[in-house]
Amino acid sequence: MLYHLWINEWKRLWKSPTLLLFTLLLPIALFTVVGFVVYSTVQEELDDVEMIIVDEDETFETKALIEQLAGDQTLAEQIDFINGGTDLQKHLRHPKEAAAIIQIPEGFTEQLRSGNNENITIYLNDQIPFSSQLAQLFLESGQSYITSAQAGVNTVHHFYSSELEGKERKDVLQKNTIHFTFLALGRNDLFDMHEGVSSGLLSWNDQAVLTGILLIYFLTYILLVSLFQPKENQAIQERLQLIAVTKAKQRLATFLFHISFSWIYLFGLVWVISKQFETYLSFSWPYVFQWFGMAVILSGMFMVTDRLIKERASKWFVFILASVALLLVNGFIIPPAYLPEYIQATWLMPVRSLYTGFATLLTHNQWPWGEWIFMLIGTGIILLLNGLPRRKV
Amino acid sequence: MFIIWKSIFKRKTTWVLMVLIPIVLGIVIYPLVKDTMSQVSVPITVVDQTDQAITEELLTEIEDRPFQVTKMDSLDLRLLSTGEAEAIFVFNDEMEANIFSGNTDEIVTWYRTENSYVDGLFKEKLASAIMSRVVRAEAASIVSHYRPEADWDEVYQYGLKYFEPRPIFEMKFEQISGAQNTSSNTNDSENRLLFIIMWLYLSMLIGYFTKILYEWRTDGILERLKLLQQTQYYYWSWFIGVLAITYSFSFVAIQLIEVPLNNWAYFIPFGTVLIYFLFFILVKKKWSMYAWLISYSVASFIIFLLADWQIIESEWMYLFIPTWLLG
Repeated sequence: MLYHLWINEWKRLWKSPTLLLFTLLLPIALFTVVGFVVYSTVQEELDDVEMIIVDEDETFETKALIEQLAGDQTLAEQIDFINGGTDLQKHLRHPKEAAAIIQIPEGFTEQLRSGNNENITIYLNDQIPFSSQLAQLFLESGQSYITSAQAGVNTVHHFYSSELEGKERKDVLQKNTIHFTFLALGRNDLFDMHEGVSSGLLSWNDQAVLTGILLIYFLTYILLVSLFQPKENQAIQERLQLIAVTKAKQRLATFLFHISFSWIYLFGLVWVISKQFETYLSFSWPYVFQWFGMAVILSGMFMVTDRLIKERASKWFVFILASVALLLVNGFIIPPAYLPEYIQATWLMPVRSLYTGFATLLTHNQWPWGEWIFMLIGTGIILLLNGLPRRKV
Repeated sequence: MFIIWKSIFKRKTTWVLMVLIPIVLGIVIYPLVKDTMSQVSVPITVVDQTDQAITEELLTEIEDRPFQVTKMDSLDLRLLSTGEAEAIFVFNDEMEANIFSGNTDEIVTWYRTENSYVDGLFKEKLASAIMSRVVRAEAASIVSHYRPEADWDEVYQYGLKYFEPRPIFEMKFEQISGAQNTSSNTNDSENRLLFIIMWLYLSMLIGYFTKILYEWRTDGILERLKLLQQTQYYYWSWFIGVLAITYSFSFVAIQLIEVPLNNWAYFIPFGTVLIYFLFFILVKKKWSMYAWLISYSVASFIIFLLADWQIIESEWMYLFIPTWLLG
């Protein structure tokens, strides 16, 4: 009997091919379009980040400052510094491709040397948001090092070089400027870095692919369930009751339908992604099985909510809320290490199996038997909850 | 006129959608999400085997957010493999003495994994805190070299005045375009995210009322009303009623999220109701209407975000109603 009910669900699906196509394509299309737009914008913008420097002061120090900005190892490859002459207004009116315009005001060096805070103004070009944010990040990190270098120069000047005269004074100042600039910029020498391979964290890549697949699948699942809801028809229900098809059995059939649909869908999705983007995801059966487990749990949660709440709006509300909470606790939305401690509590460990299964697979290259046992137990609980008779209220 | 609204308000779902869910979202879920998000942090472990005073000083100087720093007295690399620490920084046993004497190479050992994402930011902050001491010590040493009579400690302390209360070198960040001078405010962008989520909900609510129209159509109620030549009248009643609900909803919402409004923003609820009513007129099948409604809502959601991040800026984006807020 269950088999016929299950087949019937599939038949209902085939009856509306347009709706089915919509269900299958909308999430993927959305993801592709948004991904493409964002990716190409970011790519285009970050390809060549330009910063125009308008140096109205033109002293040895400001030139050294520009050089040290350009020489930074971390970002210099991506950032071009362009000498913008002294006409600030012209650049402000037509910033063109420049991510930021840096204005060094006249008298800047003199003020800095006497210990006064003379602001350099940075005009960020919000027409190109990614580049200008990158520029801001870059310049903010420069702030603290320039302060450090200048503090050194000023201190030595106060106690020593200010008492010197003429050329000697100038030479000592320049020597110290260079010395402290290199000292401050050599910050990486403070650290002895060791990078290990073994990690409990998923790589950016794995995390992004996981979240991407999950997003597409979850959206598709929600569309499927909401667009292909069985009709609430009194006559059909009565007839089904006559041949001893209980509500629990109908729910079970829908559950099996959701699982079978999800399995086919997820297998296809993982397969296509692994074929198209080999560097991002390599196909493996345990990986697909882990997704299958995820589909069982999500479909099961829908079945249980369906069993507990009759009214449609609240049913959906509770289901979406519960699923999002489950995904958050697992670490799909924010990597688990960054979550607050009460979410990382040990007693929630079985609940996190959906994610830790992937972590075991991807970072430790082991089959996640432990997690699969927890997921089986979860499925058992779900089936039990579905089978319990409803109390008459 | 009132009879159709009487029947709508008899449905349990109407009350769930209009009262229960917004209240639960506003009173329970939103504060919970906000609280959880504010606690999102990057776990960093700092190891100091000899419990030096300077460790405490450095750590208090580095802002907490977004890091959660745990201090330990012995190195445990397992923390990295379990993901309990994003990175481990082991401080040299004689930090202060090394800084004062200028032997600062590799005074901190930094353990990370290839999957550590944002520990570099902590390293930068730590480096800048250490560097402020290194340069002062270096300056004091140079001065002592040329002026042996100078007091080393005095020079070292003097350097501090360039860091506090404000660092001597600061940059002032401004936006060029000036057209949207508030766009850099993170609080605003958070509020705009809330706004678009609220709009999605509103859109779903209107979708629910549109669904009722379809039910009337299939049940033949609208046909019968047509015989009485009152269809127009009932459409108007539906339209005005839904508008009233949408506007009161938006009004309450605006009080809560404080998003800056322009003149166009006041037409957003009206436009949304109108477009869904047009869907009803043009699309015969209920399920196709759902498909249109979902596509339009989700597309609007995404276009709004893209426009808010200024990735797209074209006239056609105003076809998607929520973007009127940005116009």
